[in-house]
Amino acid sequence: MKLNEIQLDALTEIINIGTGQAANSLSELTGSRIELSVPCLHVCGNSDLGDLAEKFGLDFSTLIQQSFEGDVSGQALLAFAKDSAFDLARTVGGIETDDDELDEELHGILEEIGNIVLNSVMGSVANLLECNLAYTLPKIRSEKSFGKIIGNCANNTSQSETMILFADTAVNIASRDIRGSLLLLFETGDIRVLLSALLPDSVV
Amino acid sequence: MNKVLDTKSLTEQQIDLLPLGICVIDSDFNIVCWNKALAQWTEIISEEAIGLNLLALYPHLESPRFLSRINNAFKSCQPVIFSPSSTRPFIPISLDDESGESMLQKATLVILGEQKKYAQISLLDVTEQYRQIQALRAEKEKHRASQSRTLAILKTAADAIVTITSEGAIESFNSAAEQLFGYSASEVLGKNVKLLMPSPFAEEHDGYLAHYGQSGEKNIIGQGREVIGKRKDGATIPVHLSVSEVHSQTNGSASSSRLFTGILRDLTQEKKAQQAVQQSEKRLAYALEATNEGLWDWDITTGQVFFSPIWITSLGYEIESVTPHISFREAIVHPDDQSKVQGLIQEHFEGRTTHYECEYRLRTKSGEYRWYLARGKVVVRDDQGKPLRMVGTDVDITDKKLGENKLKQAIEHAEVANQAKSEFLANMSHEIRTPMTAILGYTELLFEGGDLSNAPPHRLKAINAIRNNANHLLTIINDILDMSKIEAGKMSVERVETHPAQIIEEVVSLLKSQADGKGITIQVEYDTPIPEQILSDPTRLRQILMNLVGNAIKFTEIGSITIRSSLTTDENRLRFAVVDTGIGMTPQQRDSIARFEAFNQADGSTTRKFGGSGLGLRISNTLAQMLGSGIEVESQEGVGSTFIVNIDVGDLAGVKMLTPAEIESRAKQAAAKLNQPKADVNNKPLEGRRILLAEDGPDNQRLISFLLKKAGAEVEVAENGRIAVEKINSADTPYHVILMDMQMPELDGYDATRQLRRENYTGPIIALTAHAMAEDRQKCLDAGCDDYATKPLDRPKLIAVVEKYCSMDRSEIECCAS
Repeated sequence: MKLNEIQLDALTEIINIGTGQAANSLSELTGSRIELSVPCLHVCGNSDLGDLAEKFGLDFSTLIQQSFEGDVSGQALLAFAKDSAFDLARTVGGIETDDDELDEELHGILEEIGNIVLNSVMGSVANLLECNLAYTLPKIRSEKSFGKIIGNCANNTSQSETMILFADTAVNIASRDIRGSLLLLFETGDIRVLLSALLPDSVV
Repeated sequence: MNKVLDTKSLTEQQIDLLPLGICVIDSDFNIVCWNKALAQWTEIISEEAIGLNLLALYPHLESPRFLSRINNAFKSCQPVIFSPSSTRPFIPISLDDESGESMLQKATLVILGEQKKYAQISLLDVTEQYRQIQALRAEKEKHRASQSRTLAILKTAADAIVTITSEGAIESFNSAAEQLFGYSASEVLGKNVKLLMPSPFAEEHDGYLAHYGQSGEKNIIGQGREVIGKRKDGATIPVHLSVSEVHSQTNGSASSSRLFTGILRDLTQEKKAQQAVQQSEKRLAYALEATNEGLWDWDITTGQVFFSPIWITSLGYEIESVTPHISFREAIVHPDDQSKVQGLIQEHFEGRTTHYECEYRLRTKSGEYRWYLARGKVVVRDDQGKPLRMVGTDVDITDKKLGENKLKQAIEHAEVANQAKSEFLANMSHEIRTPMTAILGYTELLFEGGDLSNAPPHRLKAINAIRNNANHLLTIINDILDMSKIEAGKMSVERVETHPAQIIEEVVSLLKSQADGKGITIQVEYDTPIPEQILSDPTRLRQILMNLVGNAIKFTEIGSITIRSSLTTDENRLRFAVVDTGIGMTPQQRDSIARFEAFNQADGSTTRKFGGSGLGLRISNTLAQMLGSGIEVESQEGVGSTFIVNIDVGDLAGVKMLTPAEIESRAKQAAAKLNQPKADVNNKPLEGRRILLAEDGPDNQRLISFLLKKAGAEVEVAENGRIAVEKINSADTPYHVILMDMQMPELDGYDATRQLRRENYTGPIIALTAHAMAEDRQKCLDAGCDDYATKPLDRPKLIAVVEKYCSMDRSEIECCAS
């Protein structure tokens, strides 16, 4: 399924509302200004994701995953390169020490950041659909889980194809630009539900 | 228990048992559930908590982080996570330990029920977990610091450090290694370490590694050794290598890998220095071996001495048997040399000598003493100048020493022989002079004895020949005597009043007849006024001039001889030049002559032609040197020769200078006086004088008696000293003069004179001696003689000296002598 420009613009707008709220929340949380922007939304199938990631030079080594169920079901993911993820966590948490992938403290902060961002984005989607969705708690996943996350999604939806809404996301915090990705995985049918809620007059 | 079960539902009980703090609030934040864990942590029991408002209980939750997100959760049913924070915990709980810290909690909030009326807050205590993280983090930080320190050390280490894997691949290569081998680290990392080794080590290395891997047999591991390395430019370098084995736990892999760390130090400089030392040691050893010198190196503080093998073996000892201590040498020094050695060493220790040098004897193993020359020096002193180390050599000089002794003996023998020669010459001269006295005396008598005009001409000729040859013989004897004096270094000259012009006149008058005989004139010229008198030796000056003028006559056939005199005021010397128009000399002959060697005329042939001993010029030169400067020779073959002598004149203050005209007039006066009629001369100057002649030779007894009697004296003769003494003591009338021959049998003249003087005899005693040497004269005077006359006797001189003493009494004699 292909989306036209209007549909994509509409979806981008929804996501931007969510990220805008997330930026506010994060700014409040840290006491310093944080900007989150999603300039462009892409749609692809799970099989095309690798090519797309390569095309944009993206890295999914650290993931924050949150599942949702309800009128629409799927996964919301925030992905960062490992270094970017910890850089973000350290900046938000005010932690001066260098790195460490084993560091639970940084994972905890990343979870909270992911919770805020994904809640905002999904809140924005839920508002649009005027429905209540049920969410799992956000969880840090490593790159190795990525394929499984996508696969699970596909399995859950029996024969129907998984659609991925994918946005290249820039986080500007304390004058640092941290690049990450926002991924929303839906079943194809659910996208239609979404689009019809978004653009009730257009033919989907 | 039942009561609990009664009052609490099963769910409530389950919640109580969870290891989480659970709190359920309604949308107005009123607490509806407060589980047991939470009650324990907060010390607020469930019954008290339920019904309270959470915001009232914990007002800090009204901050944006909590309040808006919780409110939003009620709206959207979205779960919320609050990550653990020590500064902003969800519910502040003090830990029940002694840290004073508050609990770190991960808080989650989920909305319960479809009505979204309740939110369940779960608090997970992650304090311990986080503490572990902190500890781990600190540990890692420490490790990282130490690692970076290690890396820094590795990087800045002066020694090259290279690590390789068990396969030989280079894993690390520090900057010292880069410098040592000329490779950059990036060029060699991952490559086989063989590239740092030259053949054949490179080829063998893999095998060695493999063998070690299997057998664990170590070749180099754990111990350092010297190996050859190969630089990038192909040059080989000597390096010291020590290898250690490290088992390193690589990240993410459970298996440990073997690593070898090699530490390498460049030995190039060390090798060079070592070689230089070795070479110089070798050189020294060669030099010592070549000169057969034994070396010793003495630690003065401890007394330890290194004796070189040559030192030990040259003394016949075995190297093992010698204690390397100074006491060993001290023990074998000859007892007679001990104090000398100690003294010289002490002197050097005290810095009074720059070197220690000593000839001494050392006892060899066989017990024989051999001579050694020790030379050494203190090479290290402390701040106070105290000697700490002394190094030196001993060389066997026994042979040299023996040679020296032989030489010493030879010199002694030669000196004795020479002495004997001198004595022989002196005796010979005496023995010859004594008969000569008689020959010449009687010849004179023959001339004076009768009217020669009546004598047959051939007899007159014979008498003349006797006189001439006797005089010639006397000259030769005198020359030999002078020569022997010169050779013995016993020639001496006087500094007395000398009248140069007079001497020249005498020389001319003596040699005039000889010159006349050859048809040669002798001219005397004065270029400057000359002093009337100078301080010199008149006899020797006369001898020099006689020799020079005599030679000139000898070598001149036609022309003239000129004696030219002048005073050189700047040098204060009188210059006599004897110029002839003789055969002259070639430059070679001139040079040969100018060396003034004994027995040397211009060439051998001239001797045959012109005669002469060849001693005269040599004697004259020596005398001239003693009186001023040596003889200078100028000559041109076929034109003539000039011999120049410069005589010191002494102090001329107050001395009258004679002009040539004055000299001439004086000479004329003297000649006129000489030509005065004989009537004026007292023919009997000794008239009435009593003289005792002590003389053993009958010929001389007769001759001298005759001469004295002719002069009017009354003469008595004593055959020896003993008789002379007797006669003097028994004489009724004392003798006016005693003439005492010195060489007499029984009692010689010396002892007789001494005896007389001991017996207070005061009369004049005149020594008669054939010994013409200066020391003889002194010997006579020492014995008590008042004067001295040399045989053969000059008749007028003898009469004059006897006459002089006859008219003097003792006091006058002594006055004269002083």
